[in-house]
Amino acid sequence: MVEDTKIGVFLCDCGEVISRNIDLSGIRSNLEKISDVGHVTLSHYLCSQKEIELMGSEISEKGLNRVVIGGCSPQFCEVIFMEAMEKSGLNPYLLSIANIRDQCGWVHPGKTRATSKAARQIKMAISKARFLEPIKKETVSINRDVLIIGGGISGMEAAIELSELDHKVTLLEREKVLGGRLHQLYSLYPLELTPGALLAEKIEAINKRANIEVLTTAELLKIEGHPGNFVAKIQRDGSPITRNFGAIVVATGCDTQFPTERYGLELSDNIITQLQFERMLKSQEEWDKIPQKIGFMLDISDEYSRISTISALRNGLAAKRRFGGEVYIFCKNLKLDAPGLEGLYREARDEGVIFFKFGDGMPTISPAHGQINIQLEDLYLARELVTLSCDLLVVDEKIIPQRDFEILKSILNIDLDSNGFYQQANVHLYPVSSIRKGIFSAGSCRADLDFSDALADGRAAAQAVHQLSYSGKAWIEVEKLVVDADKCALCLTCIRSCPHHAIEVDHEKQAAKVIDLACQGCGICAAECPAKAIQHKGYTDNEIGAQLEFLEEAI
Amino acid sequence: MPEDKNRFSPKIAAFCCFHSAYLAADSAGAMRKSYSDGVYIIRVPCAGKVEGLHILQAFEKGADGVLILACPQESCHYISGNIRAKKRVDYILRFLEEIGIEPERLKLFNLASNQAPRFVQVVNEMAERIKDLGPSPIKAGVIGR
Amino acid sequence: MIIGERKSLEEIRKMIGGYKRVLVVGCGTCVTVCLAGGEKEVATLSSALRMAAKKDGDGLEISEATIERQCDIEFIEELREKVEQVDAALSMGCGAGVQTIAETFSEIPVYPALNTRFIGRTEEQGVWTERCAACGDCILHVTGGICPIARCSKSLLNGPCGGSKDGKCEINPDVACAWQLIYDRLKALDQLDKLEEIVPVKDWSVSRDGGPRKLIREDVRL
Repeated sequence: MVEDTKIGVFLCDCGEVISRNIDLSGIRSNLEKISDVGHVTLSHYLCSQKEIELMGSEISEKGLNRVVIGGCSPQFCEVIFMEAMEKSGLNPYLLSIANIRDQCGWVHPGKTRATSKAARQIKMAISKARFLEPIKKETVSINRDVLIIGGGISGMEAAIELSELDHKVTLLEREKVLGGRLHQLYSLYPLELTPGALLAEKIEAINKRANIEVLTTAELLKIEGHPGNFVAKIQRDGSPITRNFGAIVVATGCDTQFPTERYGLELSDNIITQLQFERMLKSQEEWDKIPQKIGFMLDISDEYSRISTISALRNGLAAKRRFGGEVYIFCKNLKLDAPGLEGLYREARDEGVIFFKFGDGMPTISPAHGQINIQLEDLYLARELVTLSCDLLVVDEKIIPQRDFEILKSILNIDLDSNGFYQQANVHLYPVSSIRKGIFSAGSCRADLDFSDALADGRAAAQAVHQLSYSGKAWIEVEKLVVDADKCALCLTCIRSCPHHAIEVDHEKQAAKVIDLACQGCGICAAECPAKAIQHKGYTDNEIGAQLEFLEEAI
Repeated sequence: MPEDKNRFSPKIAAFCCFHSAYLAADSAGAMRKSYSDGVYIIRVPCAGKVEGLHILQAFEKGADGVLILACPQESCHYISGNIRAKKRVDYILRFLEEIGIEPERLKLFNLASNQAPRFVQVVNEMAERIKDLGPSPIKAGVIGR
Repeated sequence: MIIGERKSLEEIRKMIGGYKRVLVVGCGTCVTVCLAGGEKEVATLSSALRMAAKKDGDGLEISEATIERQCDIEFIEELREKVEQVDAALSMGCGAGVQTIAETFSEIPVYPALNTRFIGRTEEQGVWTERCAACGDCILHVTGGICPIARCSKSLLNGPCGGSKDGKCEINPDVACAWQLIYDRLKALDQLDKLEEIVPVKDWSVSRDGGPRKLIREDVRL
């Protein structure tokens, strides 16, 4: 409490919903007795235009410097009241809300008890309000240029989308040409489009746009600066390039691996991976002998991968059509949870692809005399032991992170998840956001995505970048988490614990410094600080302590 | 004193993450699901914001129980806030044991914003547990003095 | 830095048992960084002590203070006013801190709330390991920057003992054999020849064996 507080308490009965079992008039008259409460009103719909305007004039006329609301949940009303406060010249963060509707009136029958709880809730909000501190808002400039790392399908799509949204894009590709995995695929069936044609289409679109810069045989060496204003050191053909970006999209794809130990055998001429099979389908010359019986094995390398199911269905159909012969797909469970996959499965069955479903017992695979014998307990055939022999067995692979993820992780100061892919800020809510603001990930570098998902992911990442930087500026709350440089022992605890890597060492002040644009306001740093040097405005020790005062009273 | 059990109304401070439990409590309200009126919600941006010290302070000021309600395990709005909260609660539990406060008085639960019934269940079970335990031994000490 | 660890509440309560007014003093340097005795730990311990006392019906008044460094009298002096109001002080600093407070304020007893463990570094958040034994005669230049005094269980100076197995020390398979580390490091530096230098018998008189140590620099004395 640095100044004299003059608190305005605005009670709302929410169209008499709250007053049904809370005596708001009684509460009101008690509140008027509190010395630093300068104003109390009770209205029907505080969130109505009329009442909000009235609130604004009360604030300025009576010189109120804190606003306490007794009404509904802040999730519904907070923004409205903050705007009203701002309009009348009061810092909108000097607001404290007692949620007496959702957390009291609606859940506690019995007027006496509900009224006494509501009164206490309002008192808690008032106690907190006394300690509230203003937070300044400022605009900072954000560079609209975007760096995309990885010129595969997701990266290219993100580049095109961003370019159409009028962002300047630099597309970084490690290899000599764009395209990534598209070079290895045989078909995108049921799409008519071949991978080659799709790639040509995307490259043409990229070449047409003047605001996309493609850097091939290039890699990222270092990132400096902050979200919104990154400085990237890039190496291209051995020579250094420096560029400034506001945001970065990581779209470096994934790798695959044949897990020899899971299968208990090595790859050979007639035990090959899906990608090898696609390569063979692509170049017709490689076939010495047309295989008459082809088996596709699923769910041994990775039981959860949808990509393996899709590849097996696509390639199985292609093989059936091209060579006639027998095509078997051995699986535990097909993963058909995406549009079109059920149809693809039925089409494969109609064409004569035969499916075998095994349970927990793994099939026995034994190569003998140029053939692969497969023995499994078939679930459809009442666990009958089935033995088949194939000329060619196509095995599934494990989708694994690329080896350089670790390097890129430390360059970008982001995290990897427990499987080694790029950590998403939230799997459900922010799938393409990384833990660090301004850095996004798209495509199979973050999750097991099919080609069409990878395309959509590229666009999603582009939209997320656009949302952050379209206007070239952003509002920030200045020092919402404020560091007391005198108390800070630079123990680095906050820097290590910040889930968004939004804190750094301020060498000038010899203290930790929160990067306001990168900070997402969780307050973990404040809770971890052993020196009590960080306070989270809105949730300071004083504010939390004040709310706990109700515990001192008897209920 | 079994006759006191009914009269004793426990005071519970529930630190609720604004991205999960706080919203669950709101929908419990919208669904008119009644729960113990001794539960007071303290809004925090993330369960990871709740310091061990704040938990101790709540007990010191007279809480009969403290709840920390965090985002679901794999889905914290702030990535690791719920994990930090869990570890801190474990640390404070050892402290409570040393002080002589029953560990049942401090609980952490993970719940999502759409889990209003679970919110109600968790707080009511907590209230019942505390009713069985009786008032906080810290307060008992005061009376004894 | 100096690594400390809080004593159990039970032990601390025994020490200060009987005192009605106690000052808990934190230190803003090493023990803040190793999360044992900074302002927050002071507040947390104080709260716990108050509650434990309240529960048992003991009257206990606690005041709190955290100063920049407990090993400098100028900072300790800042406590004087608060010390005059209490019957005892509980220091959350290292052993040097406890003693500096005791030497400054002879009128009240001062108790340690921490065990001072070792001189070490943060290996990762929450993990601290010993690096220096303050032996007073550093030989890190011959041992590839790895200290055999602090990190070899036997403090051997000229190579490992027979208990080094697969790079681990015989006392515990989680403890690396310091001499294995030294060998690996020197090999990487292409300085294996350094191992042929015989490190002479150590002068322990500059360490604990010489009694309490004292360092004087006339040039900086006033």
